[in-house]
Amino acid sequence: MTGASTAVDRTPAADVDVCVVGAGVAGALVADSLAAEGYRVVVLEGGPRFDEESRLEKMEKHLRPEYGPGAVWRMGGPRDRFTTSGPVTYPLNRTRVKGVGGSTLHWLGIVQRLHEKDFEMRSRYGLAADWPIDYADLRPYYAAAERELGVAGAADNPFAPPREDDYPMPAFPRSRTDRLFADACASLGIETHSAPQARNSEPYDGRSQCQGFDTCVPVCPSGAKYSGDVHVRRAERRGVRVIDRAPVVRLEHGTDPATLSAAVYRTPDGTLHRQAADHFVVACGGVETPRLLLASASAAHPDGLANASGTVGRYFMDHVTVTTEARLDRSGNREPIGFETMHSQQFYDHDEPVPGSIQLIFDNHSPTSPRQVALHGGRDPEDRVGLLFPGLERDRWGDDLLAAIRERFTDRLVSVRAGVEVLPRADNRVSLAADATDPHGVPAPDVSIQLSGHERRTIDRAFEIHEAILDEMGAEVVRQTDPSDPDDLDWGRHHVGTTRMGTDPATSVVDPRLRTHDVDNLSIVSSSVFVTGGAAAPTLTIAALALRAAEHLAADL
Amino acid sequence: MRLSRRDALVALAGGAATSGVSLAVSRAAHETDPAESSLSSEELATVVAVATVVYPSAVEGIERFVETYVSGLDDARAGAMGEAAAGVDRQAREAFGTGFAALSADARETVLRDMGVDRVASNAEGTLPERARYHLVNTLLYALFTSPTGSGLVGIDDPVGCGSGFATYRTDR
Repeated sequence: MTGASTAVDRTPAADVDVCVVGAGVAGALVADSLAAEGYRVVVLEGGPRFDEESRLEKMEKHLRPEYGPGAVWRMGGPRDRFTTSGPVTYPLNRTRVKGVGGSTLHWLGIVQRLHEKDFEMRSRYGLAADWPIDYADLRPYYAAAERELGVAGAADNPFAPPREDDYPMPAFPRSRTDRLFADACASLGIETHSAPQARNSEPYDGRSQCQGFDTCVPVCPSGAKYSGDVHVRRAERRGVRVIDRAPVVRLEHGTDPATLSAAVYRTPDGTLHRQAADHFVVACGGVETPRLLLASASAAHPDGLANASGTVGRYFMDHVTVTTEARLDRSGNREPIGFETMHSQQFYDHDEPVPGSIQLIFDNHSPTSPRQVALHGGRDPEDRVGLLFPGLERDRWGDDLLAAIRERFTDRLVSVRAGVEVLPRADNRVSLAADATDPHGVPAPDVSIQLSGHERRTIDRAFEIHEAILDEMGAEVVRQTDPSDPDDLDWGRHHVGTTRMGTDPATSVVDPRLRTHDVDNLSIVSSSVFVTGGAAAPTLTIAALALRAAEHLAADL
Repeated sequence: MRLSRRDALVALAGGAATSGVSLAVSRAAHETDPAESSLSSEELATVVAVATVVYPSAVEGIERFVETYVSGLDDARAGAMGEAAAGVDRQAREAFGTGFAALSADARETVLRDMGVDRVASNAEGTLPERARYHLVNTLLYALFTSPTGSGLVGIDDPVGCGSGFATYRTDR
């Protein structure tokens, strides 16, 4: 990569209509859509291009114990330095990818529409705030986003918001444990349904059908799982110029503080460049977007760019996920697949404010992996002592190893999770770290998030439901997330809410067309504009907002 | 449990080479000839001999499986594997006066354990025992247990990393 970096032209493009910062799914869709309308677009991406032909090697890195969790997409190190404040040590670098394709490179691929109530939390429950748009405004863009990403699903969810068309592809069939869960749920009056996902259940858009590698997170070797680089490639075919390894260090304005003049970025050789454009789109997700705005403070914008409201970075949300694991008295899934195929949104909409939204996720729990035990010398792969001090016990080989694998083997575990809505709170925020910078001197992000009583009561309700289902199945609970232990919480890796949308410039950062209130030629197209997060995975809403914003920009510019 | 050439290809390409997925995988996607391996015949014999130590005795067809798998590795990985094998072979000659592949099964295991291969952290660029664990022991075990026949030892037809799970995850057995 080092050699290649010197051969690539990373100098600014001339005569650019729109400069997009960030080549994840939002930036890719905006760039592609605007290019289709004839606009001249350049995309600046801080991370690298990842060679698609190396995805099998990435899979091996993921499956072998010699490599750390950030190795596959090269996350971590000085570039990705961050701090956390507050009681939760938020694992930021395990929740994102920097590079062409963005965090969709490592995502699971679940795509759902937000529910109508998610846009009306203040009106319905007196909680949080209402969005300035409603479900009906986004509905056609949701349908378009499902076609763009390629979504496999079925209209079998009685709790979903209204939709007009079938999904582009049929849903993935249920697994063996799905059927066991569904029977128990039916006995309890809980309805189950398919889990829509941006993963090809049949060939789609020139990409393969899912092959079932079982390594969707962090890497899909077959390309059946959608990732943002799909639209980056299409945008490039339409003439968009994408400059990778070009982190934007600040956005600059000229004499008019309401008009940006350039995105200043640094290339691998250390050179600072200035990309001029008529309009700028920041599409860097819920953490890097506020970081860039805050780091772009000027005399005219002393608290950060587009931050007259003081809300840039505030109302940070992620979904918290809690799990109950249990042991069956019979076999569960014998063959691994790597993604869930059944959900229940029966507890998503609610009459009272608390408990809040719950999405039930029925895991396709894999049987014990013989590879994992073998590569840990026959020891328990979860044995931290063995990992830290590998010489304490000799590895087992041959028949001794096979005996160890068989001792540890089980296909009787099942687990059910709950994705729980986290309400926006001003104190949960992304700010600039006081004492940490990246190698370019830009302050690192500081992430502060904690759960409130609302989430805790919702988690309690989720556990009640879990236990009722597992009891009905005759399964014995063996492990449950401890919500009082911040390190035991599983985050959804969904960064939302830090430059929220609204009509009032005093309380929001962008307007309903995603233009910032304070800077005329700046749009933010990102999960950061969410007002609330619901309990649904956010990527389809990100994509729908991107397609809508691109349509508005094409009309406005 | 007899390992097949397909098992080796699946381990290399995650099944892609045998299921028609268009991926630039490796030379193993093409017909392989052990003679084309970038390892010397002595190095290759040592790798096969290591496999006989770390693979369960129920596994048959090891030589063909290993030769096919090694032939599909890229030159850098094959070279590193060959160097590690040559190092193990030197240790065998020092300890027993003969090459590793010519030793009895017990003596082969003694050489590896005396080197500490069963106690060191696996490291692709570390000391000889660390490299032997990475390029020989762990790579061979990875190949075995990402193949259908290897995982079949515990009843799994399509293990993690094998790209045919889409056809089997719904099974009700």
